[in-house]
Amino acid sequence: MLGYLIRRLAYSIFVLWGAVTIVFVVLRVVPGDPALVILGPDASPADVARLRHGMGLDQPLLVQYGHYLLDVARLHFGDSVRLGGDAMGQILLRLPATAELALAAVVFAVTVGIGLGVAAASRPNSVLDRVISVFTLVIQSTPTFWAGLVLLLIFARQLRVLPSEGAHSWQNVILPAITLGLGFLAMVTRLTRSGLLEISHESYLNTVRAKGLSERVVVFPHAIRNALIPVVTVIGLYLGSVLGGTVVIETVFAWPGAGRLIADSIGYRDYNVVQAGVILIAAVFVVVNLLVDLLYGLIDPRVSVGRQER
Amino acid sequence: MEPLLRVRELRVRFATRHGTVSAVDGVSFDVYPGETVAIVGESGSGKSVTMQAVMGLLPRGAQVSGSITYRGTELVGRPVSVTRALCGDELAMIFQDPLSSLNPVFRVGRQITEALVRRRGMRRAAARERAVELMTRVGIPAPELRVDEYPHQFSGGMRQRAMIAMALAMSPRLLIADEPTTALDVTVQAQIMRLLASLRESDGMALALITHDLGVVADAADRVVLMYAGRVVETGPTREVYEHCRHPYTEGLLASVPDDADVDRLVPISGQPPNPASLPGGCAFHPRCRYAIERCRTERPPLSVVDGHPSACHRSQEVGG
Repeated sequence: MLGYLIRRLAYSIFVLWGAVTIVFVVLRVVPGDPALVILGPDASPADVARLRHGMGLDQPLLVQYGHYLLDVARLHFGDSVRLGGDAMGQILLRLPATAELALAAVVFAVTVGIGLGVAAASRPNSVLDRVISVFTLVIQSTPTFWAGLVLLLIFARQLRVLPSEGAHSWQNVILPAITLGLGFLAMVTRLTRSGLLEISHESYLNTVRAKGLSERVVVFPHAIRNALIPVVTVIGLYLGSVLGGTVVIETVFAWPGAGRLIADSIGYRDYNVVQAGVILIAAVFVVVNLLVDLLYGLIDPRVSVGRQER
Repeated sequence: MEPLLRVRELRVRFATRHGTVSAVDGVSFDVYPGETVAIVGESGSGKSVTMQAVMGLLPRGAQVSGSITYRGTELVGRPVSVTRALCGDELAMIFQDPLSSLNPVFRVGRQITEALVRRRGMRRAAARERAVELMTRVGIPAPELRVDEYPHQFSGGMRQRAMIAMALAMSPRLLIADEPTTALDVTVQAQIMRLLASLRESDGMALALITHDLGVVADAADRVVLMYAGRVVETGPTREVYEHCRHPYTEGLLASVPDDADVDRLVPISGQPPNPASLPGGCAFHPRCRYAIERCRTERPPLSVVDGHPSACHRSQEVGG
């Protein structure tokens, strides 16, 4: 068990290094000079050069990268040039709002997805099954920003039943959470359906029936507990896209979270904030996946993580 | 005495891509309280489908006709909930493969007493105690520990004992055992059969034993029902059928039972079990039968009593001894 944890930790550090490096490279490849953005288009070339020197931007990329890696290793992410103060502090300040949104999206996707999956699997190839299958296909191939705009148009603009932006009440979370969770919902629906159909001929379900228990008990908990094993794996993997999706969704819905801060900071070339944000998201992703692996043993007792089978 | 289970002219058909396949075709038999009836046949003979029909476990789309009555209650043509209400405390069933019959993600003890908890409202703590009792009864060692284990931690024989404990939980009057020993080692097979016999003795429950192994039947069953290609070909008290079999298929099965005294005499039945989708005309057994005559190819023999017990063969008088 300990050896497994150490291996996983080493692997996690490798993943984080990858994220740290990619965000560094991408930010430097994108055109736009932070010094110029800060000082404005009217600044004199001498002022720009001075600020560039002060920010270390006049050094060779490799040297910048070296400094950056050392800073990250010491958990020092620099200051936000736009907002002032510690860049990671700014991200952490907005993280609860993002966590709330992501959690709402996952809860929405998992509950509705399992419901739709059970409904589809209970009558395979029926009209309902086909409708659900087309629905999941459509929402899986819809870009989230577009889905968000359409939902805004329908529920906030036309029907005026839900607020369009901000985070003033619980109603504000509904539209962004649905938008963010749509892709995941489609995946959970499909996995639940196929998982249930795959085990629908298992003999242990007949055992439950032979005990005189109803079809409802056959599905919940007997079939669903087995069918959900693949879904749990995917939840961990999909959380990456959910967190990444917050960058777009929070912008569309003006949700005051870390994702929107990252998006804004890209526009301002606020390198330190973007880097801190991406590193944090990567760290959350890594930790959640580790937790999912460890929790796997709870849902499937046949799996004992890092332990010898007796 | 009234039979517990009365099956009359039972027919089960499945719609497939190649048309309708008849899996069970006019099967009739009774099971009386406390007796053991063996239903014997090869795979595809319809023996398991017959019992799945009794338990209401047939897949969706199966067409069932005829009559199944349990203590006077007709089950054919009624909602499956009527059968479900009988399952557990009247009818119980154990299956061929004890590993796939236990849900891998739930503790064995919880599965044994699930019906008591869900249907009789027994408390979890009391149910756990009851599970330990039941596991003790079926001879599972260290039940206080094993009650909290998962099926994959059990050996094949222990899993089947757990299945039997589960079936006993509601004290059924009739236990249907679908090839309960087929997936087990030979030594374990004998233990399980002894356990079933002793439980039947102590609880007075009836046992319907589905098997392809006549060797198992000889010691265990009071009566046998032999099935071939979805029909009953011979039925009667076990001893009588063994000593005076009247159907060539029974004769073949008896000859293929391993006899430790004379292994060389092991005679298999030639040919393959027929495909239910395209059964031979006349008597379905005629292509494999050494007694077959022209009449067997065209005319299906009815089940009729010759010398004491019913058999379905045109030449039953010449078969056996």
